[in-house]
Parts: sequence; C-alpha cells; structure tokens
Amino acid sequence: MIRLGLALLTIVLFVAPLIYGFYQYGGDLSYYLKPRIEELSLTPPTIEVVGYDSRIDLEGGRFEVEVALNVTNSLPYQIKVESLSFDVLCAEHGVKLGSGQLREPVVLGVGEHELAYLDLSLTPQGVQHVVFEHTSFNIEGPNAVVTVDLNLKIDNAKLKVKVSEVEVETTLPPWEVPIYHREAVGLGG
Amino acid sequence: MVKVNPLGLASSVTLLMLAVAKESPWWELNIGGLAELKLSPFKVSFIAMGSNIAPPIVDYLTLGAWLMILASVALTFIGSFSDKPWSKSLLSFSLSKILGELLAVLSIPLLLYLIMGPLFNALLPFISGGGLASMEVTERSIPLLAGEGLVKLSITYMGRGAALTIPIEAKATPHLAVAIAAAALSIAARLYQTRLVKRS
Repeated sequence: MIRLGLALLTIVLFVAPLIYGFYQYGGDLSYYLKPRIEELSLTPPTIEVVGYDSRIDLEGGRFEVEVALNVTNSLPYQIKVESLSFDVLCAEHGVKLGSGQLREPVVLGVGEHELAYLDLSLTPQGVQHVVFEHTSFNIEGPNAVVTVDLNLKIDNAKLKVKVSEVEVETTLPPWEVPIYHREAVGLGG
Repeated sequence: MVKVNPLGLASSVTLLMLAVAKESPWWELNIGGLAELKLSPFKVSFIAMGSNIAPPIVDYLTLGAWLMILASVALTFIGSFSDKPWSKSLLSFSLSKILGELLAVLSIPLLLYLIMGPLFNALLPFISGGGLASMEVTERSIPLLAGEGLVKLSITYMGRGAALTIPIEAKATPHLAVAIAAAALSIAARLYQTRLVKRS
C-alpha cells in the first residue's frame, strides 16, 4: 500500500508541474517544447568609413593614407579587432602599390563604437605608378597644381577578431578608397 | 526506545542542502564565452547571446525534480525514526530520486562529449546545412566532465573562408560533490535501514 502511495506521489510530482506549465503557456504545445531561439537576435558589427587623410609627397616618394573607420559593436559580447592587414592595389590597373594594416587593436564593449585607423603606405614602385598614371600637372597663375586622382583597391584583407573568447580569422571582400589630392606648388624664381 | 538511522538523517540533511541551493548549477559548460550551459536537476539554463534558450518545458521538468527531492528530504527524515518495514520504502523513494537525478545530470556531459567529440563528424552534415557551404573540424579536444578543450573549425560561408578557434571549459561545481555524497549516504542509509528493520 505504501509503495503504491509513493509511486502515485512520484507520478503527481512529475506530472503536476508539467501540466501546470502547459496551462501557463496557454496550452501551446509547440511553444512549450521548442527552444526559445526566436529570442536570439544577432546583428553583425558595422564598419563605416568616416574619413581619409592623405599625406602625399611625390617628390620625396611618400604616399601615405590614413583611413578612419567607425566600428559599432551590436553583438552582446565584447569584440577585439586584433589585426587587419591587406594589399593596396590600383583599382584601375590592378597593380600592387603597397600594403596596409590596422594601426592598433580596437576593443569594443557591448553596444560601443570606436574609431579604428588603417594605415596605407605605397612602395617606391607604387608611388612611381601613381606619378606616371594618376598625376596631372597644371599651371595656374604663379603656381603649378599637382592633382592625384585614383581609386585604391584594398584586397587580400586578412582580419583577426576575437568575439568574447572565440578567435575568428577571415578574409574580407575587396573595397575601394578614393584618393583625390590637389596641391599648389609655387614655381618660385 | 526509538531506533534512529543516523545515515538516513545525514542523507536527509545533504538532500536538504541540495534543495535549498535550487538555483546553483551542478555542472557548467562554457563555449567560447558565447554560450553557457548551467545544469542541475532543479534548474537548466542555456544562455546564448544573453538569452536563456532552453525550452519552457525544462523549467517545469526541473520543478518536478526539485519537488521530488523536497519530498525525499521529508520521507527520509520520517523513515529514519522508524524500524517498521514501511520505513524501507520511504528511504527507497529518496534513493531512487537522488540516484535518478544524479545519473540524469551526469548523462548530459557524457552526451555532449559524444556529440562534440566522436560523433561530431557524423553530425556535421546536419549542422552545416542552411547556407554553410562547408565546415571542417581541424582540431578538437573536448573535456568530459571537467577541464578545458578547444575546437578549431574551418568554415566556408557564402564563398568566403573563416577559421574559428573556440575554447571550451567544463566545470563540476561543489554541488555535484554534495549530490554524490547525498546519493552515497542514501545507499548506505537504505542498507542500514534493512538491518534496523530485521533487528526489530
């Protein structure tokens, strides 16, 4: 008799909460049994180019570009952009001009946004290509105006990111950085 | 004079300790800080992206498990103060509940170990559906009950490749030790109760 009572107690303690829960969820069996994955929302981080700053000295063989990016973390985890390295190509001719990388790692807390800087620099051969193919010289009054106009293609970009404790290494699709630089040089004499 | 089963009382106390710590997990699994499984017979949570995605039914299954342990506390306590034959049934009730719940909790790490370890390659075709062109495990070390491991994945998604390194950490909490102690005491108490009943 006592065994029967204990067996009944087991059944009641097991079944009663299940029935109670079933009614708590309005008798919707599929909602009751399904993992609550609809509560997951995953918005990938966004990267937006906010500005370029070029330092061009063609005579000195110097062609450097700083790209400022605004990175927004919309994931519910901390993100660390550890490294980003890439090749810099001439978008028109497909010639490799130089390379670039992320200036320093960027750490973004949940919902935070930070500025990240990419430094691009051209090799002497790259500068030579820019001078011969994308630079024009015009005389405007007492000055010579040097205009550099080209699109740099960022290619073969290797990104290393840490999302919480998970390391992700991936490649990014190519994108272009427009460069328009105009400089008046006094002719002197 | 009332014969008392001290092992039964000790078992009752350890079961009560477990029941009081209802919210405390017995076992935890952290998957790269992105997902965390916290497991006890009284509460199961699987937190991913800040939300508990365990189905609602789990809350009520675990409520039932908790009520059974509460009943076990009372029945073991009552049974420990008797040498009548029915007292054995009371202690058997408690023993079956704590053993069942302990085995259920221990079976989950074992199941996950098999899924993430030896069975992973067999399950890959099911996992890598829905837009993932391919996924390959390049390195894998999975902890069984406690310890640290690592899964390295190579994924091709929409024509692009990515390599993921996911650290995995499994941890048995002190509550699991209390549960094992409670199960051991329940076995001992049940055996001792048989002797008490025979003597009377």
